[in-house]
Amino acid sequence: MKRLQLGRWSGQLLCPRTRPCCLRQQQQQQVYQRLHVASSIRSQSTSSAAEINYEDGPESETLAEIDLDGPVPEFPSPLPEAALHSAKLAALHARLSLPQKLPLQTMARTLVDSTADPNVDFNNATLAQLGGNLMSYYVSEYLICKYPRIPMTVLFAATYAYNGPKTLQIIGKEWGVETAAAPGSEVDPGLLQFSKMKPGTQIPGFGQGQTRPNAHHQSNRRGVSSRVVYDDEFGDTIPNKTTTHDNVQTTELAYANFVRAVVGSVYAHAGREAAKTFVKQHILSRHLDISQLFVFKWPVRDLARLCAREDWEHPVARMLSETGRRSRTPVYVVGIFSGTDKLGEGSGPNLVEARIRASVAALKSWYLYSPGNQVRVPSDMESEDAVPWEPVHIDIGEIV
Amino acid sequence: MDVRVFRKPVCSVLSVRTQCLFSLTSPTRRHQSTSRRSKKMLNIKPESSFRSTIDAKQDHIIFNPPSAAPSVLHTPLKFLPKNDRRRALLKATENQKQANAVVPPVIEKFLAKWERNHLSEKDVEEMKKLRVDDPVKWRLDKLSEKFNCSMAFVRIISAELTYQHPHLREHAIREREKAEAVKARWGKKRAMAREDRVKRLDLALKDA
Repeated sequence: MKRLQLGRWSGQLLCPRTRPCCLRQQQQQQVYQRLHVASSIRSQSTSSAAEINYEDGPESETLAEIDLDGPVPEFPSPLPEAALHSAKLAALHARLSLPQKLPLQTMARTLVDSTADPNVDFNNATLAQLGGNLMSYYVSEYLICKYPRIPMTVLFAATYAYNGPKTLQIIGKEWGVETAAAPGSEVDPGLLQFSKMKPGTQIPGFGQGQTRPNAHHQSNRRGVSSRVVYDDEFGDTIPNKTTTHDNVQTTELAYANFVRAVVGSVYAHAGREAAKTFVKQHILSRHLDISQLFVFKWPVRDLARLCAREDWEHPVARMLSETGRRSRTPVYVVGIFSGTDKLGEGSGPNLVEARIRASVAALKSWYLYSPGNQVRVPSDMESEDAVPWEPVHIDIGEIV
Repeated sequence: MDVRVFRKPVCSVLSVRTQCLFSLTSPTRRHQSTSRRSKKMLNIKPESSFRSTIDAKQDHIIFNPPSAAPSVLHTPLKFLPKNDRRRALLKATENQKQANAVVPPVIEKFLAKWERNHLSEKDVEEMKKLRVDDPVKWRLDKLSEKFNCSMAFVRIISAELTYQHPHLREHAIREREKAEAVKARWGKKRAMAREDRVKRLDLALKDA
């Protein structure tokens, strides 16, 4: 596999103004860029050649036209120099033990949402895109390798629990990041800047304005396979342009984009290993009880199907113990057996419920089979001294 | 007065409940009325794993966990894939257990009452004909009884018929209305009890 040249990548993510060159020229260039480029919104993260500020390049003639003595133009986000003097930002950098390679200017950029500054050279949109993709990759490879039999719907729910916007908002708040009341150049760069959504603004409901090809159907089926193909990494529909609000952002998404952008900036400046460690320490280290995410509809039938599929004996409910049969609060402990092997055990106040619980426990222990905590994931092979890859366990699929 | 005293033990002797046979001499039953008796009652032999560490030959771990539901994260031997290392380890303990294991009794209630895979196409056709001709007489449970097959199988077939025949669809609507009318007559207590039952089922399906 060809290794990525990170050094070349980070050049474009670092905006030209953060390069050590003539301060006067830099300021002029910024003023020029802000005045002429601010209105253009580009969806790609690559900057065009015209915007790169070469250290030894000729000074642009158009700069002379700008009146530098007049009133300072109002910028949508704080200037990069302010990042060096912000106590909040330095504290955040230190608190997260971020690598020294990650400059404060980039850190300041991760806090600027696209609704605060529409210019992609100054907001966190590109970094958030990069970081979000990395994060969902690391989370999903960890979940799939650790629980090879996990059903797709549970995988979606678990991914959402690890790196969904709600969790990322909690993480951002735990990091001690606060929001600015309104974006502007005078704001402390250590605050999260975005245009807040007014209370009572209509947020598109479920299934409204999607990017799915069959979105115009009123009663479209959303099977699991189609969710894999058309929807996002959490199995939710992706809202289309008509339903998204261009100039305002919810607090939840603003925080989520900030956390994603931090991961992206760690990757861009410090490399893959650092980004992976960062995700492991901040996202994957969080506790999630996956066994609580399961809901079954016909557990007894499903277990019978599983036994038939695997050529085992038909599952039989057996009484392990009981107490108080004639009383108001009896307890039955029922075990599900296939031959002489116990598959699951459950207790309940009546035999039917106890059998359902035993079947659910058996199905959960089937789906939650894990090769162990030290299972290797594909991205472990990226390190230089990786031992040869041993194939991980792959299951044939869900029962029904 | 005398009669009452006399009658009480006789009643308990004659009663069917076996534990009452021993309470024949109910006035002489011992209570924990003194501290000596109380101490004696509470003097239970300790669990064998709680051996004294003083006269033990070497340090040991006391393993006596409280009885609890098994964790779903402990995969049973049968569910482990063929190449898993735990298979060999579990196999050894399973073999030890099986030497003197007695499989618990089967719950009769859940044994299949019906035969499986015994109906021919002709039987199914007949079942369909009966259902279409007279859905009131040939309810699902009657059909299941007649053909000695499970209700689930009858339900699959009748669902298809209901989809095809309009008069069966009307019948289904009428039946639903009847059920709704019955539910509407439920009092507060019964309605609440039914609602709780649904909630309990939902919890059971999550095993929460």
